[in-house]
Amino acid sequence: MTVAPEGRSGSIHLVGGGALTAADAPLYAPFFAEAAARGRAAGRARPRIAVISVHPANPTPAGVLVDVLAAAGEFDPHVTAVRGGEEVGLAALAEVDGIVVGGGIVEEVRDGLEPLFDEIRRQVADGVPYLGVSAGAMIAAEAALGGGSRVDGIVVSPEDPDEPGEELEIGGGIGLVDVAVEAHVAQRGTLSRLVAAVESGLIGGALGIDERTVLVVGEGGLRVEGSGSVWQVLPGERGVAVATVGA
Amino acid sequence: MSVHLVGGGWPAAGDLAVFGRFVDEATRRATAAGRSEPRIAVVAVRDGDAAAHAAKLVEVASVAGAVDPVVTAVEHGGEVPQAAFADVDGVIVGGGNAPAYRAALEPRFGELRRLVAAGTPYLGFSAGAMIAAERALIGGRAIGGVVVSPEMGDQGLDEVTVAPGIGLVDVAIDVHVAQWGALSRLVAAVEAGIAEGGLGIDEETVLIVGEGGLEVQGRGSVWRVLPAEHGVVVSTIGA
Repeated sequence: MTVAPEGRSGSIHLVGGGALTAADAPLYAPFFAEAAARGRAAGRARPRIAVISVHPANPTPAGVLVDVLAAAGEFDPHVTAVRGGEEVGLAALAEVDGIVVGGGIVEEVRDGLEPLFDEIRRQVADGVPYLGVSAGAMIAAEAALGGGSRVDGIVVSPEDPDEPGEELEIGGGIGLVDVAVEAHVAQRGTLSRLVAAVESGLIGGALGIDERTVLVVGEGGLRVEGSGSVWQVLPGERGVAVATVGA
Repeated sequence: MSVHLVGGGWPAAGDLAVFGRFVDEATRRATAAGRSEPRIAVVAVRDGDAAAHAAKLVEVASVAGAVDPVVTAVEHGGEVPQAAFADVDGVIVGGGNAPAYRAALEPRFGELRRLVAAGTPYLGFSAGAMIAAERALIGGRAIGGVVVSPEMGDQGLDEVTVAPGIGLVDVAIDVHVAQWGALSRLVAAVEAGIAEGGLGIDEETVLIVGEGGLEVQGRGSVWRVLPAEHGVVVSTIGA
């Protein structure tokens, strides 16, 4: 169901959000090890890691990501932080051993990174690992979910009572995995919108990741680490098939 | 006569979709008994505002037709007396804390089953819908310590908890499903075997379980969760 990385492709590490303290470093360790190995092969003692943030409150989130990664090991951060509505330039990916994309408003993160999608795909195919947190995980999909909570006008997941929700829309993502990706699933109660989106045919399938949980898509298939679950949502014969994968 | 399970959420003004069929059924029963207006037991079990909650239920039901309410408003820790259901044409059990409703009504479960079997319609609103199940899901947000759903709707319980309910339907019932993000709890409960199957009801939506099977009315959906070979199968039923 996911794109099997070929040959020496980098793994895709999808973090469901909420894992932003030093105690969460183990979730980042497999990504860090891959980036470090790649750095060593390139003659770097410490891996050079792109840390990209598109966020309304920049530059704070990029700093938080750097701190979490630093708890996993020593590295040379190559930080690019822009505000929502701005685009990230190609220089963000220059000569890096790993790519980290943080959270934010998913539409803004998607739009800000869109000029880099081809280059990210190329680098990952060439062996650079990718790690996305929350919105950064959601946009790794080929079909990236927006933030909407309604399907055909019907409420399918929690909304702010003071603000009517929007229709769920699908945008083009980076294309590192071929099913949609959702974050914060158990914490924000968004499994229902994945089920509704698959049932209505809006998406062909989805992987929903809980907070403090990472899904690693690599050559060995899917692996889950952390304190939550990954919810696999696929079309089935009599409805939508849902199964959880735990650590 | 039917079991009407409402996913919570007060209907918009003038909206008859959720309470209408229940009031119709109770009215037909009243007519057969020679009463012009249906006598309806309205039960509220609350922490401080039981009378106000009961009054709101009566107000909403009255939009669908004239009713003669028999209100039982008890505070948490209280018990609903047998007299609450004497000679009624319908039963409404309101919302709030599901464990509190379950405890207050447990001594009356047999009587409620008997009434429904004899043709008295039952309407459960939110918590009142959850406890209609034989093995009722009454709250919680974690299974084996792993969080499976948002704090909202946990009813003050950590672990997802199933306890004996009235026994009007044979699968677990969850409510406010889309609004509170509760589908993952129902899915996890069925996948873990805590519940054999589940029906999750959105707000402003009623699932009517009657002789003709399942029917859905209102603005949202009903999410049906059944065990499958690997995990569960979910399908929605709309109005």
